[in-house]
Amino acid sequence: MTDQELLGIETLSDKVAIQKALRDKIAELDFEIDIERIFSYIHCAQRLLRKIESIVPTKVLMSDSDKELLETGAQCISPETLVAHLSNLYNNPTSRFDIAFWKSSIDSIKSTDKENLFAYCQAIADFLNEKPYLTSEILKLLANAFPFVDFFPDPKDEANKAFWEQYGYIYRLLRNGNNELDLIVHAIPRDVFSTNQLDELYNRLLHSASCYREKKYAQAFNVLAEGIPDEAKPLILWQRKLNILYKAAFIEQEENVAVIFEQTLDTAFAYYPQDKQLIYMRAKFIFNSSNASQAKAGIIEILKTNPDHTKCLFLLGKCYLKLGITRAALLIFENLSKLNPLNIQYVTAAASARRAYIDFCMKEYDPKENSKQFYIKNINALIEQGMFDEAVTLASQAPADDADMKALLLYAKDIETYSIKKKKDKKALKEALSLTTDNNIAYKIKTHYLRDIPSWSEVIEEKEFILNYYNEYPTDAMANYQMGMSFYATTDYEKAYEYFSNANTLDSTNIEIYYNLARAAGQIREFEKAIEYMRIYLQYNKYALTANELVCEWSFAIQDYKNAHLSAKWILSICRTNEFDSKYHFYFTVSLSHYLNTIPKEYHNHLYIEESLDLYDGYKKPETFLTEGNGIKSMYGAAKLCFEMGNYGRCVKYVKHVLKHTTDHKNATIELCILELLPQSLYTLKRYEELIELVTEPTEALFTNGYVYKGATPAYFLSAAHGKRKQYTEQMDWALKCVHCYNLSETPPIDWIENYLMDKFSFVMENDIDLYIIPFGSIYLDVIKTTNLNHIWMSHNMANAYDAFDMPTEALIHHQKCIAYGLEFPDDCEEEITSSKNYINTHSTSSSVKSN
Amino acid sequence: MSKYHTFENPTQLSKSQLWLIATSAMLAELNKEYHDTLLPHHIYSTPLLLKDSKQCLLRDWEIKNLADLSDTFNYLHNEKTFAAVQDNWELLSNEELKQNKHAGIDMEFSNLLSMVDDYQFDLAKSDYGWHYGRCAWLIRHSFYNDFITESEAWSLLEENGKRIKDSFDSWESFGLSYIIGAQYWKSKEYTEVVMMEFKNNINYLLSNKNSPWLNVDWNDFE
Repeated sequence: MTDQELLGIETLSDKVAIQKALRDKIAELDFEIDIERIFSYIHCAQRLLRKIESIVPTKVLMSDSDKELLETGAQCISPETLVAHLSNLYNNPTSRFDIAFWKSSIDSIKSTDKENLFAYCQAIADFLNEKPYLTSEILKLLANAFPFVDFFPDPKDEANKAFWEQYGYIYRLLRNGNNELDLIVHAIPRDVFSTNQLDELYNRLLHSASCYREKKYAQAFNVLAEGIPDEAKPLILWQRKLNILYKAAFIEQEENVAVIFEQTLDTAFAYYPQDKQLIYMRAKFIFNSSNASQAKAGIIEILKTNPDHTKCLFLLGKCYLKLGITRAALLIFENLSKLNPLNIQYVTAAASARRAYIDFCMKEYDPKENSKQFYIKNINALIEQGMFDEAVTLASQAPADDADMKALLLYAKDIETYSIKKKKDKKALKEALSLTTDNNIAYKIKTHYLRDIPSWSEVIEEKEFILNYYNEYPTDAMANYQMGMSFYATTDYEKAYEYFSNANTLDSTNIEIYYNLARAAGQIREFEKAIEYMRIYLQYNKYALTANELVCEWSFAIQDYKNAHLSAKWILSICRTNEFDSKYHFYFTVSLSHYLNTIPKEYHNHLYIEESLDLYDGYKKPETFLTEGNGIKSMYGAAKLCFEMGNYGRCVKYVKHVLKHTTDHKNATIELCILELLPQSLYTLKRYEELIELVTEPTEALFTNGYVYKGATPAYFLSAAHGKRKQYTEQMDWALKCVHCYNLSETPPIDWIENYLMDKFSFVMENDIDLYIIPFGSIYLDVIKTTNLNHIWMSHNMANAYDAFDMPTEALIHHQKCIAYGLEFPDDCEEEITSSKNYINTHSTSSSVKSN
Repeated sequence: MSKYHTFENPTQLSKSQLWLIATSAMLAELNKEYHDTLLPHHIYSTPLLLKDSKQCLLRDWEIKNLADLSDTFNYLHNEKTFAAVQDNWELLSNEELKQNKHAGIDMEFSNLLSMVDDYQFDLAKSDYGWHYGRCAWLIRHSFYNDFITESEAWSLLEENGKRIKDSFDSWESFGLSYIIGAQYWKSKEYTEVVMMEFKNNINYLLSNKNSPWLNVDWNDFE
């Protein structure tokens, strides 16, 4: 059963719908007796919510309005125009905190006015004095772009006192950024307030925080309470006010503040009744001001409408523990630990509740009245809670003459050994199974016997055991799971998928099942399903490398390149030193490149791409990186990204890095680097000699068995590079090759070829490079099938060239062609046609004279 | 991982003395040491264990005599680590604390804000337990290395113990404070894996029958 089915949600698009479904599901449930069920719904809702939240828009692309602003920024040419543009960005709440806009204008200044950067410091310092509310990354950008080191004079020099009074704050901003504002800006809706209102809010919040840190709580509170009408206050103001009051009332124990806290909370609720923090404040107030029983009732009331509020659930757990309701308390803390494994409060509370629960169980059953049940239940409870040594101690106290007790002792001992050494004594477990007649004990032993078998070969060895286990418990999730494992081990992935699916339907809370269900789905190429299941597993195991890698691989396989890139980015951020694998680098750059190929270039966000490449450069590479396919491909991907955005210098850097470390230039990826990326990059960078040196040989190698289409681009740039170096013979030679290659395309670019040939033909005519008149003319007449005036001109000049080379027959043929083409254009090229006619007449006469 | 030591009190220490030793339990458990004797390895010390202990005191703490221990003692009693973070950021709204991942801020600061969010206004004594708990362990090891006498050890443990007793109200709150100190210490890179051993140890100390914290009542030291 999927999470959507479990909660009864048809389409997954709306947070509100998920929360409503959750409320409906738990409406009739009891927070003590049904707490396990409640948590299964909570986990389910959390998974669905995370699924929605995980669709985070990464700014790989830009909108039209973004592009327009960027273009304006690129036109800044002086301190005045820059400050005017920055003011414009600052005054627009949507662009104020978007670094891409700031960077484009600053980059423009750095390239157009780089000799004059110092002059910008004064203008920017004055600008910041007036408009200081910017995030750290923008301040850092400004600080690094301009020579502020020279702008700020020696602070110890008395003569600079006035300067430092005026600009000291700017110095600190540029040096340290503004961490606090970084956080505030994301918590205030920018579309609701004007620029001035936003500045007023930022100012109040920063001032209030400063008072709070000086322990001036009343002042900190008043700065937020006064000056802005309650109905206009954003949520953050209420939340901060309540935090200040809570600190003063309940931590510092200031008199009478608790009353103000309660009143403020009520007012805040009137404006923001659904806010989770306000709800928690109320729950916490109830918890602090009531006895455990009253607090429990009050908090359950709150949870009925906010069942997944983890902090409120924690307070409920504490109430239960105080009231001795240990099982419910333990279940709450354990589940909260699963939801937030790094919150140690949950861990310590769970540990205390675990002890209290075991002590409760021990008291609950009187060993004298029902000795056997006492031991079975408590040993099981101890094992479930991971208290293996205590379980063994208790089992060893059980009546030794009872077979079930003997089995239980063997089981307890093995599970304790397993917890320490990760090895099972299968013989002892089988002996235990042969002893017991208690179905519950037998089930536990079998489940333990099959848990976490370390290799597929061992799973195959246990095939019969698994089958018997399944036949005995066909509706048990673990039995179905083990059947899935058994089929997976024998590579029957269809069957494995079927059994894992059954197991998942029977127990959708077991995260391990999702992992293998996803793998089986991947094996039968159901990649979408595989990704969906593995993402659920990853919600609880976000650092699991293999699982992340599989999601990345599957996303790539279904051409979801954006997610493949983002998965690779995450993997590379969590890899430990010895875990970096070239394939992660491959997915990182190549997926991004493929993704961008599907989007028009003008929407590419160059800033994001540059940042990604900086990350790529920084990621550790394995030693064999450039001797294996994936490493080379990843670097080709990086070079391609640079190539596509016109950063040819960086592109060449990547390609040369590859070439430096490999000698196998026949490798397909390296060939792409040389033939696809280098020619245009080096040509644009005017590195003609390097282009000729690096590209000539590999391109010539392509033509060993005749021309091939992929030789066109390198031949074109080789020709152009030779041209720039005035090596006309080579220039024309490569130009001819270029045309031959283009002509092999399925749909040759005829117009381009015609212009190119005309250009070259004219050039050889003007510069008397006679040797190439005939080859260019021939190919022109051959390729350009529709007759035009150029045919007349070209065939005439070719005829003259043949004549000059003493090839009269060819000359005659081309003069005749010239006349023939001329018939189609009777009013044009009279001079060439007359000349050709004269040649023919002369040639005919001289032939007849000779024959006479 | 080895089996846990059973709690037996072989040297017949008083309840109060056992309580003082139990204040070093987090680090003692990490090193699989005894919780019921002043000496960390009871009578089972070996030259290698002693050498390790000496190296640890010197390498990690620069302690080689009573004066060094005294300096460290003062340092640990006055050091403010997570408390300074709380003082600065605890007033932030949850919205702000949760936005940290998107705000372009560094990993360490982001982790610290997550900690503030998790424990907001719940830790009156911050991570002082981390400093006091390690202090107790250093005193035991200083005695083990003969840097101090037994009576000096008890006296220092008592002084340190008073601070613990005044700051916390249970083994649970003391242990929590200790681990939060560890979490702060690891704030550059803390993950579930990094915290796992600390979590296992606190679970043991708060729930296992052999744990000193279950054998010594919080109120056994006044």
